Amino acid sequence: MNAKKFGLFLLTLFFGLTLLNDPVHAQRSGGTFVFVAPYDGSILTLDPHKTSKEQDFLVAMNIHKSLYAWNSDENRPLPELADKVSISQDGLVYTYTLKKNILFHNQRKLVSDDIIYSYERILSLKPASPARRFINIIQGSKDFAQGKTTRLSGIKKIDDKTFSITFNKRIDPSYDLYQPGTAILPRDVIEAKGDEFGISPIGCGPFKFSTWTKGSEVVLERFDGFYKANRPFLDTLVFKIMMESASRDIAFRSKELDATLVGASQYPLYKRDSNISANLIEVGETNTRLVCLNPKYKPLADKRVRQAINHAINAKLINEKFLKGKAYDPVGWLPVSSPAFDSDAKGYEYDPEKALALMKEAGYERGFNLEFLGTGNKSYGIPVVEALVPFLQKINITITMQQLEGGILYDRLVADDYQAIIWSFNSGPDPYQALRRWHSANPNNSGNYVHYNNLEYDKLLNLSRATSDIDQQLTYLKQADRLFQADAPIWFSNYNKAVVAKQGWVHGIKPVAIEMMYQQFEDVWVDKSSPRASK
Amino acid sequence: MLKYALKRILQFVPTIIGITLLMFLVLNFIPGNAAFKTGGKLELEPEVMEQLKKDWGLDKPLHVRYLSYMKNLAKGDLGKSFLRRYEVKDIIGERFYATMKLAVCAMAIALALGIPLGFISALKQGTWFDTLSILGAVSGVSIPQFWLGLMLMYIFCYMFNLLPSSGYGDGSFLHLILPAITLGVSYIALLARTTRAAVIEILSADYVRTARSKGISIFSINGKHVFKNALILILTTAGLQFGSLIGQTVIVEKIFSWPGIGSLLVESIFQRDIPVAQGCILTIIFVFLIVNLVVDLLYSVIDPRITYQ
Repeated sequence: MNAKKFGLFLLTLFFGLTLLNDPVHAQRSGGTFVFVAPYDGSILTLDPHKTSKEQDFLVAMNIHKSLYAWNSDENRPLPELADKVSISQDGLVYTYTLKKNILFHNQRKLVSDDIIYSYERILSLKPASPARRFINIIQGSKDFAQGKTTRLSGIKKIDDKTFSITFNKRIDPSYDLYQPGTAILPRDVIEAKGDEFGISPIGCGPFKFSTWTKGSEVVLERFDGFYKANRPFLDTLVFKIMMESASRDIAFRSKELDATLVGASQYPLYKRDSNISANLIEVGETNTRLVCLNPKYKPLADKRVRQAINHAINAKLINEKFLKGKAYDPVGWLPVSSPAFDSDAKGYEYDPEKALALMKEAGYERGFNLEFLGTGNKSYGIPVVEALVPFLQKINITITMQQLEGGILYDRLVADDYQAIIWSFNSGPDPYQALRRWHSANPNNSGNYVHYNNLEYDKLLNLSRATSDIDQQLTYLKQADRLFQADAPIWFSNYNKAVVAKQGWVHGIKPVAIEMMYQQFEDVWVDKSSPRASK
Repeated sequence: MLKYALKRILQFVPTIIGITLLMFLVLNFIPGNAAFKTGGKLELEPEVMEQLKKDWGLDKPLHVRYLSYMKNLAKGDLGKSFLRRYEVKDIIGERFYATMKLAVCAMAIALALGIPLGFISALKQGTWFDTLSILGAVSGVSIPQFWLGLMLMYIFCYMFNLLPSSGYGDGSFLHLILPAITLGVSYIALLARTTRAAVIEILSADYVRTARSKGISIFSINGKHVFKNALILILTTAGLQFGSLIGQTVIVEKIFSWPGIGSLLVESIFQRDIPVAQGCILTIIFVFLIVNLVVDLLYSVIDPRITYQ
């Protein structure tokens, strides 16, 4: 070996060793990870077919798996349990070939019958499963749910590893079948355990259920038979139920938590703290905060008045000063994380003079009274409405406010008993489904709370369905969103910026746009500086 | 005494019937519905919501639901949770022990500190000790539990890293310390003030003066005459407070993620999970009734002149 080659060898060795020592590159197995279940209320059940609560899913999705899974890197769902998916010419029939090595935690192999059983169970559960809507895309689902057929006709077993699903229409089923509520569960265990299944579940996910202290914490342990090689890294995963953000803050700073959800009040403090700010992971979630403007209230039936409201309010200033930057500025209905988000589009400019001119043009120069309803939520409730008062006063709109509890507010919304309601709605991840809410065929009680009715908009949505060209689909959807924005049936407030703070020893936490807390812990690991790292 | 106890237990029946009726009406008249809460962000389809209401029996008239509830209650069946989808008695059973543990500990702290503090204050009336203890008592009652809990957490968990900040853990005593102190502080103050007032009144009684004139030792007077006579009022206060304490654990449970009935009740009301809310209220009322019965029975032990008919 000459000197040059030896030098190269030494250099390679040096970089190789450096990489191995670098915690970012040296993934490390073992250790315990303590996370939070931060939302209101306890964890109710770990049977994913029986719930739709984020609090339940953020635990359950690490025990169970659905046919598809959300991929944060690609920002869309990808096949999870199948390693091959073929689609028929007409786009209606999907044939799936399951991965060979999928085991449930009781060591039984997952087979096609489990898929069929799980989807049939979702359709036939009593009381009804909240996930039913996602299975309704399968042919024959309605008949099966109504008891007219004994089998779900749209799903056929070919063999233990292969099955086909026929859908009602040409759609991308991944957006429905990735949902945690559509997880594939083992029939034999459910039949043996009955209601107990929700308390001590068996799944095919990376972690198996260990203990659950109701109202306090859930502990999961690594499942060695998980189908992905060398996953998961962690030995133990603990979810602490911590609803109070101040308690979470102390627990995180005391290093009792490895990662935590950052609330609106903590966000500016964490941003200023140099030790924490480098470990903040932010994402624009698929939620749009808005004010529904009821066109049945006469002044709001006029598009110019609704546009005036949008021009009169400085949403950017509210987001910056009042929400302390923990929100993305609004553009249209679709949020920044949506594949159909139009980055070229601009939201309503703050222009009080234009707003006044529009009010005058609409014959409301002298203004009117407007009653706002909302919850006490600091990011999309009455506190935000309080910030709107001076802006709307400038165009002579006098605000009155009523703070209501969420359930009561919903009743008022559905009953059309409101003038303006501030709330947050799911606006993704599937842009078509998100925009479909405002289709004129969608009734008020199904989500079109502002009675939006624009045939041009409907046409664009229908065109997007008719084409299989993804780019063309997105073009139509962007156009529809622009049209919706121009019609201003709502006041666009902001898109939620979800933030997770992690300790420096944590690796693998991802920005999950569908719900930041839906972390797939199979990829998360802790380096040796963690106080809970394995020795 | 046994006859009296049985009579009192029988009196529970109309009390519980009255309470269940009131509770049933209030919980069922609150606007909002569990079906909406079930959906959360998903916003369930209207037909699924209707199906859920039907499956839960919410489509039936109120009186039919009440009669069915009472019929099941007579058999000891509290029903099934709407959202958790399993038996309410199991859900409450999982939380009852934690609540009792917290409440008993908080009350023990309150009794252990409140009574001596109040007693000594009364004996040293007008001194700096008395002034300080009154000041402490007023502060103790006034400190918001939420603030106190966070301060204790900040000091003992963040600054000194001595105790776990929250959770039930493996049920160890370490997890109980901060929640119990937070809950107990306001009761320390209350019991100290009650004890002080009762002792001051007894100290000026004729029989105490007579005992003093007889030359009986101060220790004996305070122990046998003053404390024993003050105990009836202290016990009544403590009994009433213990009953209400079960229902007042909610803030402490939320701050410390303590898995008790208080937070379960509030949660179930917000979720409109009526069977769970009813079960929690019944449990709290039942504990309240039992504790007060025990207090009543203890009167005759403390003061043999009290008889029960």
